[in-house]
Amino acid sequence: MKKKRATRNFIILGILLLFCFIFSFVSFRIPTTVDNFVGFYNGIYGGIDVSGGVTATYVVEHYDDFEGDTSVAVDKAMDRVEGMLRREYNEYFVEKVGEDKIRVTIPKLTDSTTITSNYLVNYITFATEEIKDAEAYKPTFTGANITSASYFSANGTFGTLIKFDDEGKEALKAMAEKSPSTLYIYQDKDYTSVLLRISVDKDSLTQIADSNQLFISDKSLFPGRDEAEIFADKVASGMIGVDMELDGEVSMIPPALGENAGLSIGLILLACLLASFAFLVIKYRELAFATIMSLLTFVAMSLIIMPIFTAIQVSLAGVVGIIAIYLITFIAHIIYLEKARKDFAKGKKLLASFKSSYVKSVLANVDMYVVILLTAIASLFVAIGAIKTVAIIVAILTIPSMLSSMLIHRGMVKWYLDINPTKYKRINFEKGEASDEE
Amino acid sequence: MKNKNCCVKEALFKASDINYKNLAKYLILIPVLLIAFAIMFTSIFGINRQADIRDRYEFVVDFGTQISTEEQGNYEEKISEALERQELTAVKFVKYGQSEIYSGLKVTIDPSVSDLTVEQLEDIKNAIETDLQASIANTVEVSDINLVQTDLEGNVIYALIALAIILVAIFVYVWIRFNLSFAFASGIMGLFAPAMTFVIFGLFRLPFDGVSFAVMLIASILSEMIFMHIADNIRNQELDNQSLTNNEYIKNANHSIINVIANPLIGLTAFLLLLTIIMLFVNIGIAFTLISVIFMIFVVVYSSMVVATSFWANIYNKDKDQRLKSRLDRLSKEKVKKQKKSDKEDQDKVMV
Repeated sequence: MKKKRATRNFIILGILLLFCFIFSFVSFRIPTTVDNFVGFYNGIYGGIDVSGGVTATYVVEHYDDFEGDTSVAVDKAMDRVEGMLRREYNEYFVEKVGEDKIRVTIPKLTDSTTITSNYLVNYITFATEEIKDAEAYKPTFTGANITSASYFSANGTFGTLIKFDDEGKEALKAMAEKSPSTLYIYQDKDYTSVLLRISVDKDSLTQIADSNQLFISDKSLFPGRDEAEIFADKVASGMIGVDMELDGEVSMIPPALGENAGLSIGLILLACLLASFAFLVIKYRELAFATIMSLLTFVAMSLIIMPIFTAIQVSLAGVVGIIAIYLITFIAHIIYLEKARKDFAKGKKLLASFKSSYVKSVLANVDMYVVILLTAIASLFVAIGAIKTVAIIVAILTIPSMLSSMLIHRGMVKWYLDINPTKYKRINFEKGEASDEE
Repeated sequence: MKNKNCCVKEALFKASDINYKNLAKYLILIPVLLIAFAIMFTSIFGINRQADIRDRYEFVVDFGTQISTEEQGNYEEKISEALERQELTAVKFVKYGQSEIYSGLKVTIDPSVSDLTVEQLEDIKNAIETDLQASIANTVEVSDINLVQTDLEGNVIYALIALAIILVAIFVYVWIRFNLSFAFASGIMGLFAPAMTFVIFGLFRLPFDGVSFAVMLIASILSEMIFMHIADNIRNQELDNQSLTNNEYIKNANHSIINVIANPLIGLTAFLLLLTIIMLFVNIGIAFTLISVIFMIFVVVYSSMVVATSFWANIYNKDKDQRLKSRLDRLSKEKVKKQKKSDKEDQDKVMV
């Protein structure tokens, strides 16, 4: 009965895994929609190495009253841009080109061939009129008047709080005297791009001026936290007194690892997987089947989880991270089997060996995973670039690794032992003195 | 038990049968001297930083139409020749274009070239453009040659801060889980593993780029992982048998770890070596990454099974380990309780 049930369980799991792997690589249009299912594997976001990148160069100008020369302005703009890019990308390049330009390269995460202007540093100007003649207009309230701009959340509503100095207060009061209907927030020096329009009147604008702060909160403007934070960042960038303008066109660069980088990486990982399976079969013979099923479950869970997180952007460093977490999972599996082998060699019965070794191996593996998680989480919040990529992959894939090594593997081994509870030679174990099995 | 160990595994067993306590000064000092030497060596000769993380000159050659793979090879050759006539060398070519219609090549000049004036750059650009228009087509355009500067210091600072936080977090965890001597040993190892990995990059002139930081982080993670198992094994031995010396605890623990991980690691190393040889002909970037991973495996094994354990052997004093004592007390009390319970049950059986 147990044997039949175990066999049935293995078959069902095998079918589920097969479906999972099929869905990892096939792509099709989802019926009744216009969306395409691209497969779990193809859905994993790639870094610049794997998917290529989008690059643009920007000329950096600064306000007349900016303290410092162009070099200082470029450095400030670079710091600011890096800070904002770090929110969304693991790997990116922000480079100084010549004396007054910045080049930004980001991974091509979507089909888009443009770079969002969300992280650009621009002039910020407040005005109560639509400015037609940029050269003639003399701004009275600029980013230099802003003292802080931050994201704000209250009662489930997201917004941005902008504080300004007394000079800005006087400027707004002067604007209020003209009984305006709209407050425009411009985000470029030519006043062609409006970041935001706010409906105001004389009284409300005077009130804003007197309070030295402007709180913007609108569900249509900021449906979520991200939108409010991005807006706050844009306004805060205006405080630097620097403007970035696109120089030339946005360009594409192909994957650094070659056009077929994804395929090459997939083949390398598959080769690692098959090599590990070959090792298991040689070492543990029939029992290898249970371990292989557990490892395949880990791989399947990883393939399903990875595309969900845009934070996972696989580059060459990411591949090294994936190999590392697979190695850790593999070693965790081996530890359980070796402890069982040791207990069996000491004279315990086969089933008892696996039972006793499970507890010991779980305790050992908990230590291991705690250390790994501590390392990954610490790196996640502080590191940038390749280290952050590895940290994210290791942190997220530690969960399926723990599940497979501490729970699923035990289940697989139990099922196998239901099929073969005594024949230790079939699993390459050596008999201890007290054991009376064949 | 039949001894079916391969020669490598046997060698590992023999190598682990050393006196960790007495040899600690050599086992730790020699690598520390190596690290110091590597730092001096790299400060003189520099590490083999890849162009992407160095200040370098770049320009774009636009051909006006989409370029095929065959044309790309030919154009790269012509550009290299044009640069050679200006006494410059191209180290990298990357396709460049809009909307994936790659009609240009971004050319990176050898980063050893520096301090060119604006006039010199203008002259070089004009000369290259004239050269290429003559050898390829009139429509070829060469952009201005710009100095591209990267902020490597920022990356290094963040990496060091991340490492410091990791070491502190692991130190605290190991202290809580085991004791202070294990915590110090894991801290020393946590510093040693990435430093030794850096030595490998420096001394063997392996290409150093963003991935190298990732390899150093993984060296730290894997070393800590193995050391946790060693520590757990030593702790269990101490609970079973308090008469062994520190050296004997370590030898038994290392033997146990070798039994578990030797075969997978030997297999992995052999596999990576084979893959590296294949990749040398397919993608040299991946090949160098695999070489650094192979070296990292050796560093991980050495730091966890030799450096950390030698350090622990010298600082740990069983007699002062209060936690061990209290745990042994607890275990003996549980044993006595169990014995009493068992005796009572036997007595009850007899009475019946």
